Amino acid sequence: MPKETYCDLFRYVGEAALALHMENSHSGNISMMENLPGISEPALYITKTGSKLGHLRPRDICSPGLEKITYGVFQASSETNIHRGILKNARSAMHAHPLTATLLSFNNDSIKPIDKLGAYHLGEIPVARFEYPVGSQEMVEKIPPLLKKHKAMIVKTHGAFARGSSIKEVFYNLSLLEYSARVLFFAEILGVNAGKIQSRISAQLKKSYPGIPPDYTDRLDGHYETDDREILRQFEETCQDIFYLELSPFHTGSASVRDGKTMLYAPKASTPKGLPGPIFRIPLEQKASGRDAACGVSSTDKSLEIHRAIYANSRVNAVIHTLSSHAMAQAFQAIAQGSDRIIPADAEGGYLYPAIPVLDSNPRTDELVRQVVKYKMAAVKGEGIWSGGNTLGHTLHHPSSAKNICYFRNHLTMMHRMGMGPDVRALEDENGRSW
Amino acid sequence: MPDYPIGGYMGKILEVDLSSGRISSRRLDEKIVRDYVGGRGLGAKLFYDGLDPAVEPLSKDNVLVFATGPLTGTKTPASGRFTVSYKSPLSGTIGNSNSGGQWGVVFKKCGYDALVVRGKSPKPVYISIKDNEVAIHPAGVFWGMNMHVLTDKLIEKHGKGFKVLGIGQAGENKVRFAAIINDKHRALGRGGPGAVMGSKNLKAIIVNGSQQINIARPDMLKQGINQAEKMMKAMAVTSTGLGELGTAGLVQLIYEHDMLPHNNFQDVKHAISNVKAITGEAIRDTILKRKKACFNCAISCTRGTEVDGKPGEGPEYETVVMMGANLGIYDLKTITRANYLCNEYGIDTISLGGTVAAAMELYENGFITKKDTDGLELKFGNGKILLPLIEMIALRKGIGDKLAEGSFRLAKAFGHPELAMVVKGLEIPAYDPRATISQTLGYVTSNRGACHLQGGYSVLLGFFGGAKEVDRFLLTTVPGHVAFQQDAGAISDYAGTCRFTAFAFGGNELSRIFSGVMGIELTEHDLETVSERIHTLERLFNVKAGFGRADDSLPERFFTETIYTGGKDRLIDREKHLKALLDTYYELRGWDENGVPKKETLKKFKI
Ligand code: SF4
Repeated sequence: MPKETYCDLFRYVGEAALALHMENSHSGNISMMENLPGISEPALYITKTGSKLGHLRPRDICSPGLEKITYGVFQASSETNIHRGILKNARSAMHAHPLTATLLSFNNDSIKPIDKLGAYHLGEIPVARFEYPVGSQEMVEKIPPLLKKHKAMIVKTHGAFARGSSIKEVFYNLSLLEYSARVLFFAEILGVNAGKIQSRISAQLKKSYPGIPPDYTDRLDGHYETDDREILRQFEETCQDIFYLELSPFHTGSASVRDGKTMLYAPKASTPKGLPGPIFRIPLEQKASGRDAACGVSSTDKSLEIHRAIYANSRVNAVIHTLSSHAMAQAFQAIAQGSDRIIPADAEGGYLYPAIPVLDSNPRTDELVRQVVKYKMAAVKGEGIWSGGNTLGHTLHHPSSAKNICYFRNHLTMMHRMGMGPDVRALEDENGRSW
Repeated sequence: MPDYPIGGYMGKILEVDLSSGRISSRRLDEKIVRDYVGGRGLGAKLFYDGLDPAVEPLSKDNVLVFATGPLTGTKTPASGRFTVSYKSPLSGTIGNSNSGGQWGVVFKKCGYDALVVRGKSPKPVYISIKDNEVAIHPAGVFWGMNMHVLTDKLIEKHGKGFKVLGIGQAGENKVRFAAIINDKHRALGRGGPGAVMGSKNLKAIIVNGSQQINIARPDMLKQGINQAEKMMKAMAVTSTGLGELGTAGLVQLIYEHDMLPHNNFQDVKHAISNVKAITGEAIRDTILKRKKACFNCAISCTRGTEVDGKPGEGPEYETVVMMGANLGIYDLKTITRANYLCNEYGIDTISLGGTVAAAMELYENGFITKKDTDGLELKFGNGKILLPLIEMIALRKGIGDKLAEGSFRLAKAFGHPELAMVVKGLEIPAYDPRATISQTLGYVTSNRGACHLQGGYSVLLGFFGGAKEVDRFLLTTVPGHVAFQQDAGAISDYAGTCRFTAFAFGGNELSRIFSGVMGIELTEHDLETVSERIHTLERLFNVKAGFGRADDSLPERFFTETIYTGGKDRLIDREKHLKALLDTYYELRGWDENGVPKKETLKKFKI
């Protein structure tokens, strides 16, 4: 990989991590290794100590040697030796400070996601306690073995380490970790019995069940099967908004627009600046075709099927699927309370959406499609928000509103618990109950 | 335990007058301790108070002050350092030099914080200090010995508990850049303290001390040390880099930043294959036998090496570059052998390299001919002449006698002073000033002449500053950064700790350590104020010795010849860079436009 390319990757991931508040101005570090032609030992690239992840320049990345230490060590991050250990079993590693995941580490020995993507991809995330939890030898010894087994781990009260086959996959894992932690955090605040869901979901995962999300790949990122610059611009704008508004973790969700008998399909709807996913042109009729597989779409992934089904049963021209942590926590609460809807408490939300329908996990596709078509969007417990509209921009308005609606509800519930305001139900619009 | 109200001190200054043979001791003034603390500060103060700045450096009237700091010999990481202060025979400025090893700690344990040596012995002598027993012995039989033989002989005579500090033949022959060597391999190198010792007919000082150092608040010291050690373990450079690669681990990094001098600073161009032959990696993979460390230091940057069956220590970054790359020599064995030889003869490798580089440029331009060199081909890249030349310099034989005067006097003698790469007569170390404006300001304002360390080691700011990084070409705000770095670095010099610890921790942790050792609350700001006071006092000495603004400058080359660095051709602009930066720097320091400390500044620092 040319130096410019990996420097750009470091920079974009660093900026994205800062945008997600995973770092303070100078915290965190990113590493990757690369096989260089004619050299037996792969090169290790890592961010310089004290560098600002939000503003990385080529000179902020140094090469301290993977096995045999080289001069880059003079500038390397203080956590270099931990990275060296992790990279024995991975191609890339990152240390970040995802706030909610770190917060949960104060009182938990592990984090067990209750959302499907987190539970499937990350599984139980270990939390490890260290006597000196910053760059210590104990961390050098204990973190790499943990990350051999797990994709991410949390240093109690400090932050997370993750590994992956590429810098992007590592950031995906961290971003997903923070999302799962936030869903869990708010769901528990809302009174959801997380333990029950955790045992059910882990039992489910032992079997193969429909709708398993695809494994992460960045193989075709930046590959576009259209040269229409305007539609590419719309995708870029929408997908960046999804990322920066935190409507979905990095490189999750999906978005599409209908174009005749095909759709332009972005299997990654949340993409920050410089880190786009691919955009494929896929026939609307063909189901789980060879073309789908060629696009890197797993046969177990239900997303593509839902996009097609929405187009087949409606006049919408754009579909977006996102994973908002605030909305997911609300969906968990709604289902736990036997409700089928989320009713906005705020005026803007209530004006636009009297109610957001909520479905239990693994819904029938036709039922989900019916709700999306009827209510512009629908939340599925642990699986995200589906929405349809006329254009990508128009469709984006729905999950974006859902996030705010659910943000208010979550925080109003917290405030009520602390005696700082009324029960959120007292603030719901009557209309929403019968909508 | 010493009877002294401030922890970390033995409370006494030992004075030896070699002219009269009088040995005395006096109580260390508490006021001096509070204002100047120790090491470089204490040395500067005792030296300043006891010396006429106009003194001829190689006369009997020059004074040598060896001083430890309050942290020397405590459990503080890397706290084996001590300083010697003198008037430099090379530059004529105040000279001071700092060394590690074990000698400083053992000297302190003899019950003294400082040793002041005055006068001149009529015959060669050495001083022995065993706790409170101090004696002057004839050194006739040792005169003419190199430092390795001398060390072994003195230990053989006095016993294993003794640590030896002394001079080799270079000091005896008053080579102007002769070093004092302690513990066989550690050098008090810059500015020629070895020549001052030689001029006093003082061959060695041996010490054997067993007294305890009083720690005022052990709990607080422990807290500070814990924090410092954690940071040292966490930082890759202190936990791994320096130990694994030594300081020469910097070679390729500095080369990649187009800063590695070549052929007497004519350019910064080297073939990468040549550079790779002299890196810390190359040392590790070829000649390194074991890592070594000074007193209580986990960093272990010292290289225990072996070349052709001969063991020794080194080379360090400055040596590898100044006796290698800057001479166009890339043969690691030759450089290392040359380094061993310098340690044996007692020679500063930076000034030696700089002087040989000047000689080579004079030779290549025809200003020195084979007639002058007794047939030696003083060409860049000719590694064969290095070892013989070092011997000729140390023994002042043939052309070596001229080189022994240092590059400025050498180049002037041959009619081309502009070919001496010096500031205030001291050879510029291994970072090209054109590649770092901040380092330029550091070089010209360092009180002992061109010194990367006392200049604030701005390279550190540019490359390893981490969150504190300051771009090496930045102009705005740079005087403040350089002054701050100079002051922050000086803390180690008066504490008695190694400057490399600054890669991991700084004034904040040190203030807790100081307070724990001394029992006096010293904030980070207090420590910086002490540094400012020391810097100002040293400047005042230099002003009285005749130095002024015109001396705060670089050789002409750096103003007129460009190098390609940082993506373009660059040089130092006299007006835009030097003048502008000096104006602001003087203002910040409280000096007038001629660089003279103002009255109110002296008042502020109680000088
Ligand atoms: S870092 Fe090196 S020079 Fe400094 S005290 Fe340690 S071993 Fe000695």
